[in-house]
Amino acid sequence: MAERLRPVDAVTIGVGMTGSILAKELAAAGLKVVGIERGAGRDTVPDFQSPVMHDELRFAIRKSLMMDATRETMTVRANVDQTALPLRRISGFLPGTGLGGSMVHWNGQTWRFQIADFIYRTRMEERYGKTFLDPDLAIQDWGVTYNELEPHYDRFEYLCGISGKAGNLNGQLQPGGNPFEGWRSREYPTPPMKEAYCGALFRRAASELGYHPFPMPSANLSQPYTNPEGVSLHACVYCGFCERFGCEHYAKSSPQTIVMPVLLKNPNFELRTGCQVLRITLDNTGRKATGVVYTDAAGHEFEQPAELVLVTAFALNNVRLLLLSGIGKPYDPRTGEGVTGRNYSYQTVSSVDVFYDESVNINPFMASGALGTIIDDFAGDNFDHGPHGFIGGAFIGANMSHGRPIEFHPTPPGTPTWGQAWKDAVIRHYNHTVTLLAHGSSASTRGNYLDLDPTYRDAWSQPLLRMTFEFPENDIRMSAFVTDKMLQIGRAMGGKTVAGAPAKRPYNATIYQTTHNTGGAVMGADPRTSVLNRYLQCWDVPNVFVIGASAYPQNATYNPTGTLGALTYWVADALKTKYLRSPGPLVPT
Amino acid sequence: MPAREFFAHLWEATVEGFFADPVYGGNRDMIAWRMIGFPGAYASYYDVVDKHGIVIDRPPMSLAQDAMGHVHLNPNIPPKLP
Repeated sequence: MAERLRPVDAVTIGVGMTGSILAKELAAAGLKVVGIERGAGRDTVPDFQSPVMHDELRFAIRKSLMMDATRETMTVRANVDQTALPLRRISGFLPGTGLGGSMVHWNGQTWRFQIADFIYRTRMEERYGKTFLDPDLAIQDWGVTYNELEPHYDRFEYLCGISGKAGNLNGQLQPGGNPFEGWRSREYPTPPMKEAYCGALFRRAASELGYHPFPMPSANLSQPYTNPEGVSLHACVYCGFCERFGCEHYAKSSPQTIVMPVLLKNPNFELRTGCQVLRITLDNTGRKATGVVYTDAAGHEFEQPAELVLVTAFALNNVRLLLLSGIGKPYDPRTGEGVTGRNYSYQTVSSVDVFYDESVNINPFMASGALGTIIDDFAGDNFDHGPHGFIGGAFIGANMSHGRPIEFHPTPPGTPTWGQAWKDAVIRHYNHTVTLLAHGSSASTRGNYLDLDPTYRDAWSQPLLRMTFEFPENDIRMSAFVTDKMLQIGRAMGGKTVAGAPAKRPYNATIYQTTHNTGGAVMGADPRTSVLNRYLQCWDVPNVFVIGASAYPQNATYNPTGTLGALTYWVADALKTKYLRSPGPLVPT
Repeated sequence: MPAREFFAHLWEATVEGFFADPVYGGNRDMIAWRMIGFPGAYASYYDVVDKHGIVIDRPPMSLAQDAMGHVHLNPNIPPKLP
């Protein structure tokens, strides 16, 4: 029997980026907030310190900061005719665990989505006609617009201190920035990072081909910065241990470096680590959440009553919690009915290696997670898809985030995979290769979705999340197009050999691609096709808000974190100015 | 287990042992890092990241190295992984 605790105003399930920002906002507004985190408490000092942190095997390969797959994982299959199997090692994508969540081990690539991304179906049908889209595509509008989110993007970028160069200030194009981006109300808080050699080589070739290179917006800071909360960050030193690692230098925006010091000082907030939330509890109407049930590290079960439940775990875990709690009708791909689990999408990436001769020292180890030079010419809505027969696109760039040798040891096509010839090729090419990346959109389809696995359970005997995913045909065609453009740029960069291939089926969840798992609890304007309204509030249970990339109806070209930061402040604003004054549905049904 | 899967795992483990920090017992004297030119656990390239194409000729550094350049095993990291 769960021990019933004293009721509080709000509980966050997970204390990562969205949980810590929302807890900070609500605690400052006077609410009693409890943050429940499944992992351990941790901070820059002592947990992320050098030299221990510079251990590729421990952190990048054995994934010390990630979800512990021996306790909970997910099962994966390509379609409903297959039997899903559990991922026993986390490798294809890397949900974090512990205080700060995945924003501790991220790279820091901090983008805004395009104006068109938020009205995706409307815009695509308007531009290309209704018959242009593949019939299996389930893309939707978000129910919120770029113009509504702009102030919240701005607030998140200033919280993080993002380093970049504006390309569009209030409609005026700015030299050096991304000319395709949506308008921004002011310049980035800090200037762009230094440019690495790979970026300089890419910039020259891309410019010669008539494209528009610019520095990647980065949460690895170019200079020291104090944010509006009064928390200070240092400048990045390009150590090359960024994604999969915590930053020892206070130079990467993460909850610990942007908001946690303020949150933890507020007596209205209480943090509980090592606590696994099992489910959200509902009253007998099923329309009101009464709190959460969780198990602490010693195995004791507690019921924490709360007026407001904020689901702020990793995207996949948000969806799983809703399914475990019976919130929203589960999606059925056979009928297309139901909402929870619907529109799971991902990211479509491909890469090209440019092999130089031995006189060109790339020094790939002088790097950071978001150090890159990029073009946006083939992203999203930035070009005419009419002749090409697909929607979406990719940004293309040189953003080599590290030179750690277990993960990075490129060899040209035709090299044996082991033996002396392999070793010779690794020696020859390690320091003389530039890897380019095409980071592409992911359309949602009727067949890609999330539900509970019928067979496999976690350490608490609860069903695992089951992922049913295959790359849509639309995205395969998109990847072929952008990879061809990337090969052209690679050849213009002066390498001796240029090699790469587009994304292809089948999706392989054992090879790392990105941790941009999106959808499954999507926002929208219609309760028949979304779990959440435009304020990320559950249609069915209005005192539950679900804040994560799980809300994205499909994934855009870009890394999802910047948009999630904007949505987090959008929700904070809606809670403070609307919901708390009059708790109830913020959008009538 | 199919031979293909087994070999893929063996190959992965071999690459890990070869390129991991010497605290784990492989990559003796950082030979794999010297071979390819990976400098190891240096904390900062702030002053050189924009000096494009420079030659890094300092000896590599293990995460177990102290300021005197001595390499010692970290008792918190088992010499053999489970």
